[in-house]
Amino acid sequence: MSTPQPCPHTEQAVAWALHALEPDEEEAFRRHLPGCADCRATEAETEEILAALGGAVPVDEPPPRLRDRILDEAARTPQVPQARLAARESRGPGGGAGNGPSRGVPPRRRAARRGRPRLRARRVAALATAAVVAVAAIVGLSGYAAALKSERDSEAARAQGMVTLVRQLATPGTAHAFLASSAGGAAVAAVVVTRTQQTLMPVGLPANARDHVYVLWGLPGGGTPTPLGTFDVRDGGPGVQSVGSSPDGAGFAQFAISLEPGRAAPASPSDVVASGRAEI
Amino acid sequence: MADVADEAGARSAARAVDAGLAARVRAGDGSALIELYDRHGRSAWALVRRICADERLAADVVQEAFLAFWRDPGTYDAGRRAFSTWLLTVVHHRAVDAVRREGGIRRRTVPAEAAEDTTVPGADQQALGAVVAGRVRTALGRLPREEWQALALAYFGGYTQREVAALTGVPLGTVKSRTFTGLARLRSVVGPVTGSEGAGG
Repeated sequence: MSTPQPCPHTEQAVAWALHALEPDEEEAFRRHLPGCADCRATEAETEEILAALGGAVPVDEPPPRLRDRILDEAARTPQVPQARLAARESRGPGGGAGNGPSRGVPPRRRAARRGRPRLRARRVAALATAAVVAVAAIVGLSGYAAALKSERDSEAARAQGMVTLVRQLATPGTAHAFLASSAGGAAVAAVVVTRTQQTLMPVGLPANARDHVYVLWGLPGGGTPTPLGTFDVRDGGPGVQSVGSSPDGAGFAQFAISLEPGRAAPASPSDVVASGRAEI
Repeated sequence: MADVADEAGARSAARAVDAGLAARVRAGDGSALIELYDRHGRSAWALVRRICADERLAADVVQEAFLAFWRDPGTYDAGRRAFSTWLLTVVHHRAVDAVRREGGIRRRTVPAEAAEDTTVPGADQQALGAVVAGRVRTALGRLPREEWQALALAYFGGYTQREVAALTGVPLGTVKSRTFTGLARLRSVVGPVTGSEGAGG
């Protein structure tokens, strides 16, 4: 209805979908496309046919490590905040392949030119208000984006720590223990002990005050507890952390965590907050 | 072989599953990204591998395409086209860009006309893909040689139409019309176009 004559650029639309235009032609067509329903329809149809052509290539198994790489990289990569997504218009398919954001057809504003002075003054006032709102929205958004980013970064670091922990579990000669505040209670921390070091993941330990410190203890069967290392729990902290090292850490029968005043481990634990048996 | 109605049903079911997964990716769910990779990674890889002779380059292209989608899932509009169509379009463009960047050392492959049917059992998408792929291959085999050449040199070879004209010694206009006609012949075997572009424009 809107275009009684078919657009004369249909063949360019096919070449565009094929990604087979020269750079200057591509640029010109990029400007033409948003305003031409014919060409957008040709683009969509050509993409369907080409995808079928691409899908007809005999299936080949990708290298297995490609999947792992995508998984690892995604865990490290923050996403664009959602608020921006909602505000944006839909784009062409190229995504990162060099397609800029699509330009919607701008509404014609001929009325503004004909506006009378009084009307214009009102428009200016309205625009100023709109600008203030927009600036507030942008500031708010960027603050939100920054918060989201740091949250995602620490989330990614935590996830990475978990991967390290699980990897250690699979190493021969590794013991682990789930530490609970009461027998049979929910674990508040997990510890993984190799021959050379202890890795701890607090899951339910409250953040400690700065003048206190948590201490991880190893208990040999029937012997006295040995302090293995100190650690802090902070809100939004790294999650998994390495706590001290001991040459015979894997030999302990039990582990315990105490909260101690000061910043150093005492000779024996004063306030034990969690304990658990070592398992292999 | 699959009934047309069954095929259309399978197609829209697969599309709905993909749309759900894409929505989860938008909500920050990494496992949905990997599910999409498990559903469509093979065909994306096969296409990219065909365009980029170099396996490392191909792996980079596929990885970057999925990560770009992860970073900004809004680049895919589920209302406009199926995820599989969008993904193959994106990886195709990226693969072509990659071989063009490689310049002199690239080895562009001109596809063989006959291709054996490899069916990966399992997921609905793959089974469906095999049915359509079989038909497309049959149709490709019937395309006039010069139409196939114009299409394949651009799509699989990564050549611009101007380069195709120079390579095959025919005017640019002829390359364009051969491509257009070749695609029109394939259209009938691809099945109904599932996008809803018409609604928007």
